Amino acid sequence: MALAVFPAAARADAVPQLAWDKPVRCLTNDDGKVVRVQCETRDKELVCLVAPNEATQGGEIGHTKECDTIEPSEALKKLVKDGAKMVPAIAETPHGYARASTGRAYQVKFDLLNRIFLGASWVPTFQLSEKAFTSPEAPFGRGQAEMGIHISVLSHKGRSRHDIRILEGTATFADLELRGLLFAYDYQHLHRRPAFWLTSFFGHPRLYEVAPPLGWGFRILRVNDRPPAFKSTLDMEFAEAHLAWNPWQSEDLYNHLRIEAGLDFGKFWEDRTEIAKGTGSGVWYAGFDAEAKLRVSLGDSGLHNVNVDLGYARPTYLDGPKAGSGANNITLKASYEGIFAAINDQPLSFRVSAEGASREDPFADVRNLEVRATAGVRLSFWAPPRVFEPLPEFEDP
Amino acid sequence: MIRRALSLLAVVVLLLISGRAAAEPPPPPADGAGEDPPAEDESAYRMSESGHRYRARFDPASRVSLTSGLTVVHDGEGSAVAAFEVGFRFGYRKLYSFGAGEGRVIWQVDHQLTSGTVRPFVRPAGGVPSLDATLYRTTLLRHSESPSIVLPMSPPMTIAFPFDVGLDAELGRVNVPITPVTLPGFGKKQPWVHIGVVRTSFTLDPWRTGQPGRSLALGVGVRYDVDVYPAPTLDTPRFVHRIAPLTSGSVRFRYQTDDGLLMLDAFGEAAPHWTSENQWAFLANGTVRLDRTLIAINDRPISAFAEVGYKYLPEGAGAPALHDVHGTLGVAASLSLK
Repeated sequence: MALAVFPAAARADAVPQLAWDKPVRCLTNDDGKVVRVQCETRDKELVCLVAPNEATQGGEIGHTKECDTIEPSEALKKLVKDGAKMVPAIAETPHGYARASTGRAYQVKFDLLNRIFLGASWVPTFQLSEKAFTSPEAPFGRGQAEMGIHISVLSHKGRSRHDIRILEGTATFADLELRGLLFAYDYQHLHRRPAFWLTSFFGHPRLYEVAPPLGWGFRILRVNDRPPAFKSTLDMEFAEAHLAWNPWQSEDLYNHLRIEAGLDFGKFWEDRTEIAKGTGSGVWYAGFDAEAKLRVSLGDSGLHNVNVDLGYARPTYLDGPKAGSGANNITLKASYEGIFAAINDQPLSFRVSAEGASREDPFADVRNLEVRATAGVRLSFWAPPRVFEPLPEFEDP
Repeated sequence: MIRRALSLLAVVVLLLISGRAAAEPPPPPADGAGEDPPAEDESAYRMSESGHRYRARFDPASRVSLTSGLTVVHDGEGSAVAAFEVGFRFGYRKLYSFGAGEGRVIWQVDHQLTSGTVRPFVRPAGGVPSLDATLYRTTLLRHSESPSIVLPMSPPMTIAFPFDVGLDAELGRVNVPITPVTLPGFGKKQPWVHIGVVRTSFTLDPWRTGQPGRSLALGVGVRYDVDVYPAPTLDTPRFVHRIAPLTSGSVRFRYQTDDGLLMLDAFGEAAPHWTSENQWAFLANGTVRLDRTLIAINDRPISAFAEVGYKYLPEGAGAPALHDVHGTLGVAASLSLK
């Protein structure tokens, strides 16, 4: 097991390191051990960086490139005989990794858009009742467990990114508020070829090539059971689809400001216990929803991540005693997640957030506000290093 | 009256079947020669500064269009109704050119298929929306550089004839007016239907431009209409048949710019006719439509249009005569067929 702490004190900055983008010769030294060698001429002197091919404690050092040449022990002796200056070094590392003086490689950059995470948070929660924030039950006594699967694919050919979220959810204890999402997909692109061209015929014909940063997405089955503002309700949004506009997005489409507008439909239970009677209970709703999302990863390491979501939903109830009436629901979430350590390259992060929600219940003709904060940790698995390969100038036609 | 109409018909037939002015169906061109230029007419395109080729000239009569607009309709009771209107148009124009120089003859054939408009939220009575739809309309115009007619004498005599000749025909036009009717003896207002089974006019064009979409057609022709009245509902209809035996006179003025961005189409018709109620009646209608292409997206034109129309539908089956006036402003998104 290895523990990396960020910012890392274990970095071997002072020790020379082989370059990833230069050829590596694997030679055998007098002890019969393989060393990794890169030579270059500096001021008419041949200087060779020599790095062990195994950790000081033994075992593979990992995250090295294939040897360009494997040569017998005489080759190393010949370099020394020819007057080459042999400089002890550490082996090369690929993008997103560093190497300790022990030789072990460890990940220092993370892509949190690709991970499976588990977490736990403290969630003090308040709700506005009769114009004063009071406790739903025990405002400082709430905690929650959280999990999710995030997949994000950057398509170089398409100059686009596909974001997928699967089985994302939280469960609070002890009041057991459940928030869950089965599947969500979002598409964004940075196309250079025009999506369409527009010709105007006012005066001389004039052509405008338009490549709007538009995207789209959908989600399937989002559940919110027992929200603090209305503890007895259950909301199941079966499906939602939206168009999106990305007025700002970074070159790798990792950071963005995204504005979505779409339609959803689902069922709402004013009394959540009625679902025991079967799926025929509850009332259908359909309506408009919109969201503005800001996603920013500070720096290029992916260690500091900020998210802000502002959402609005206007479900209109289609049957039941309030058929035709609607509710205006607004949510605002802001969060920061910072990676402070990694265990075997699996990052541990600290996450704080603030959330506010204004929910309307037309059945009870009541509007409630709820405010919550979270502070907790997440353990993420299989988060790869962030990729910074430049996108091609044009996407494939 | 009938004698006058028959003599007029004889003159027109003589004019149309004689000599080079005959309006016989155009013969098929040999090996495609004589047809209008191919659809990918390069002169219709321009090149942008970025090297993008885009279209700047269109054939406004050859396109499939979806239209939507706001129409203001006289409701028959002294006030106006504003209504949302959607429409569909399918038009195609074919040009045939034969000969050269003084002997050049150009046929311009316009087809319009399954075109019409519906006001989905205006229902005169019951669930039937107000609509106006036509199954098929064609306009043929023959232009000759040196028009003449040949009189069948011995020897035949050729005299100058300063008109282009043509044919304007319409088949299967259905109109559900916005104003419902109540037949005598029944108490509830119901929608009724005016069906233009067939209308055809032989036309003369003194303007003789020889240019696509530009004509002034003076016509005389026949038409057959059926009014379907509810007695008391359309499930138990009462029919009034109307026949205009070459007593229908019409004027149609069409103009379009060289680039096809602006099109004006004005049509007026007056049709004294004999009805199945054994009496003469009078039917009239007219429309003026101005269409201007404003932008194109991916070379697919989007235009704004304005249209005013008037129909006088005579009394029948005891129902009063109807003045149907409308004005429409709208946009049309089109797919060019050429």
